[in-house]
Amino acid sequence: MNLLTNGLDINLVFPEIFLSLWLLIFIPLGVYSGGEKQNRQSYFTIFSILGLLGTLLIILMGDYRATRGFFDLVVNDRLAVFLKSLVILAGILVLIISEKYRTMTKLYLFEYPVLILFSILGMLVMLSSNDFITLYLGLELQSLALYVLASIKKDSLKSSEAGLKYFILGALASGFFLYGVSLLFGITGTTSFTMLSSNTLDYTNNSLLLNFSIVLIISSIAFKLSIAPFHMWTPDVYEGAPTSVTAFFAIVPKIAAIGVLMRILYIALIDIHLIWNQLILILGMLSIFIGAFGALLQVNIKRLMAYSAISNIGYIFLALSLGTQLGLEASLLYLTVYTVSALGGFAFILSMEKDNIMLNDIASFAGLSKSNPFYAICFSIILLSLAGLPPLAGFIAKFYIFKAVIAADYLWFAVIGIIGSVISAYYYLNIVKVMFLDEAEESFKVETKSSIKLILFITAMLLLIFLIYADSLVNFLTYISKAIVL
Amino acid sequence: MTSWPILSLMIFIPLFGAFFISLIDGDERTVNKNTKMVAMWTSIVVFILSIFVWVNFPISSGFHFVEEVSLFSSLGISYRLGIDGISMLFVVLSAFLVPICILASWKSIKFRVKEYMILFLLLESLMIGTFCALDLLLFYIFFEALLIPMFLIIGIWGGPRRVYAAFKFFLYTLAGSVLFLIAIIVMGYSSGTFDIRELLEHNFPYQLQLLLWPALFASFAVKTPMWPFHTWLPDAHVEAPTAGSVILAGVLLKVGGYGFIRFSIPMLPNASDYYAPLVFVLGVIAIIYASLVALMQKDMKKLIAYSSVAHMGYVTIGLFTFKEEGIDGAIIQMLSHGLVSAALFLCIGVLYDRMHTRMIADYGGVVKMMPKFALIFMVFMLASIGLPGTSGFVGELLVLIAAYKVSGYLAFAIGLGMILGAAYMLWLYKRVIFGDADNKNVQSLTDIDKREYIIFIPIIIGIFWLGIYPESFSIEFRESVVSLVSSFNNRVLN
Repeated sequence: MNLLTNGLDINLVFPEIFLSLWLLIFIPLGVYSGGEKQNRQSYFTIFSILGLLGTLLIILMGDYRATRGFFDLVVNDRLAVFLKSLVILAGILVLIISEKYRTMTKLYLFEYPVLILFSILGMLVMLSSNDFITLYLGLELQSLALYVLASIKKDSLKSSEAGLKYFILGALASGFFLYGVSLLFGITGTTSFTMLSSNTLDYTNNSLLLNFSIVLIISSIAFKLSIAPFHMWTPDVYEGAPTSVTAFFAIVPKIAAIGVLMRILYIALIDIHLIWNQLILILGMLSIFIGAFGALLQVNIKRLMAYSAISNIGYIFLALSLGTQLGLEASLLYLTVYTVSALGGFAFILSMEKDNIMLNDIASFAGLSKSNPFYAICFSIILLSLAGLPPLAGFIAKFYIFKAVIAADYLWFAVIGIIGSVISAYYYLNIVKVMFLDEAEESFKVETKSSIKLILFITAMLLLIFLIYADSLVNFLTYISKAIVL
Repeated sequence: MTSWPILSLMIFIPLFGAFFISLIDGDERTVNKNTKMVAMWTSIVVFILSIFVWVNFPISSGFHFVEEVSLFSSLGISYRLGIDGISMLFVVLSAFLVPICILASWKSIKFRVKEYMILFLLLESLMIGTFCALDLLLFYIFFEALLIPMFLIIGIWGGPRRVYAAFKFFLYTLAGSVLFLIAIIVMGYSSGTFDIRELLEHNFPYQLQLLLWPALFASFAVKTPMWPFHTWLPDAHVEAPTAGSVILAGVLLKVGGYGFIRFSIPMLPNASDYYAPLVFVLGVIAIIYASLVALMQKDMKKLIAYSSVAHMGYVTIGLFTFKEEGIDGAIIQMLSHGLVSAALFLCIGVLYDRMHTRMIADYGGVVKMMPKFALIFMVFMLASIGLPGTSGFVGELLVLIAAYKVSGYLAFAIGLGMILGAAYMLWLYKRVIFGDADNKNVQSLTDIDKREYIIFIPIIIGIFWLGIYPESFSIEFRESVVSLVSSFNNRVLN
């Protein structure tokens, strides 16, 4: 191995370095700047968005060819570039839609954007990792920032509870992860994805120990993704954390964790596909149903979104379990569509307030179609897309997954999965019912920034006219997924 | 003009009208007035286009007016439209009923008129799309999307238990059609195309057909609806506003029957042959059971809803005889039921607008106050029974002949159902129209006005036309049915 060219290629990690430097400027700036709190808040938001945009620019201007560096610790390929861009874009949009909420709830702390940027930095490291050690670094950086974010509302009991709960369980999951990796290292003598994929693993060392380590690694990632049966923290944390943080939780870390899982499963462990495929499949099916049934009786929209996330990630697991190129493509498509829907959904949730109080009860949306038709129609499109009704984007994404599942000869799992989607259609529809069919006790006018309105409108439109651009999107995602050659 | 994308025009003109309505602004009265006028004229334009298609329709089997645009090549979805003789008549039926529905809602819809008309035009576009789609997935997209406007129409403008009924309608249909979706994926995957024309030629392996058929059946049987999947229908009908019931009975139930003709029978002929006894049993149960239940109903709308279940029983039995008479009869029966049940719901709507009750016990002696209405109601009632000369007779007779060719018992059961049908309809008529006007409100009834005449007269013309000279309709689909039956026989008997 040529150490000089391949060993220390700074370009490979330049986006991460740039974002770290930006953060190093940001922190003293936040500490020493004076002025009115509200003005400072928007300056800092703009400052962090600029930092993210700069990082995005560096990523996009970089090399898309698959390159590894730092003694195989980091990797850069199309998949990493795509997922990193998605993470950063989603991060920027979440920052924009949380602006008004933060002003309203007086979350002026400059640490808020700093923590968000830190966790995004962690996700970037995760996505470019080519080794379990690098991955762990990114995972911890991300998680630690998220623990603090969950409890950032210091005077709220629920927020503190959410942070503590998340922290304790998350620390446990990290422990599992390290234990699993150390077992894997004991079997194979390496933690590098490249080394693992080049015939170090095969069925001859299909020992109980190997199974054990795979289960531990997957379950810790499943914890981060709130996959059942590791989902218990999700509804509480989603409900307890400030809504803007919940929006961040529901969208951005999911992209990073799915990306990491793709790399672990499809590069490092692809040779032992038969060991993990049933595990992922069962976790996926379990999540689809726990997500569907759990949401049925929820009255709080944030808890409902938590269960919705559980069942949606379950579908991605279903596709990932196949171990085929089509499954990879389908999960990328589903992830993209889910990100857009969740962004729109939270843009709606974050703009629902009456007399400076957030409306978190689903019942409080009654009669919204009369008082605020714009919001009701946009949110209905998003919900119906999540429910998987044609011709919306959610339908095509689910369709693609079921096509991949059937192509891999898992017909009955497709049937069971689709039954789960009917059950979940009920609660999405229930919200549409509340907005369109129920009468409001007193009508109110929702007033938000036009930027939030624009994001809500664009996401709803993207989901509505999906069929028109679906072809080019899927071709693009196929190109991206070819980064991993099976 | 025949080279124009006329089917796309029929799908997109209502959408354009709906978009235009959403732009109408001003004080409530002018908005309501303009909205109704725009909706009316849009639907009339679509109806004229559908007549144009009918007049220019070549009498031969196969699909005409075909349009094709690739939409999503990596999944194989294309925007393919085209109609044969069978689907053409359903397109005309849909385009015919929508202006009538809009006229029927002219006064009875009092709030949120704008949204109502937008949803109705959306519904029209999706219905026409369903019958025109030549791509399996495109069909599914239209078929499924139909649920949303119907859900809202029942849920917003319906009766007291509207939310329950809307949910029941939605979830029943959705549960049925997702299995259809799985079947679509399997069919597309194993044949390599979603093009309906190619799928009609494709031979699926026997074992696969046996698996696919129940999935398709689940979807179409809920939609048709067949016993025991019918329980959503009485609720949906009772709670829906009059025009909603008309579209539901007139067009949406036909989508199930259309699905059997277009997909189940030609694409899965061996499985259809295998499962035909099941369909006969369910059909006979539907006819007799639904008729008996209809006899005991206290609510007029519920009675008509159960009669729909019985009439659709004739349709499914006719289709699964795989005889030319049976399929011809089933198609005519569907068209006839589309007109007759729509008209019966409109009649109940006329009474309901005046009395605000649908209970049979609240009526009696209506003939004294509304003689003209009583006459019109009688025409529809007799057409529903199947009196010779009306449309109901032709379909029932053909189905009966085909059923007799299959089995005498089957014909006997259908005949029994016809007698029961006459019993509940005549008894309904007697209790509502004749007798003493005990209820004070009945004594203050006014006879039908000009608007209601305009609603009923075209339907009466249609019923007699179809009853006296059915050839003018059957000539359009004869060739398609002949080729359907011959290809069925080739593939099943060999």
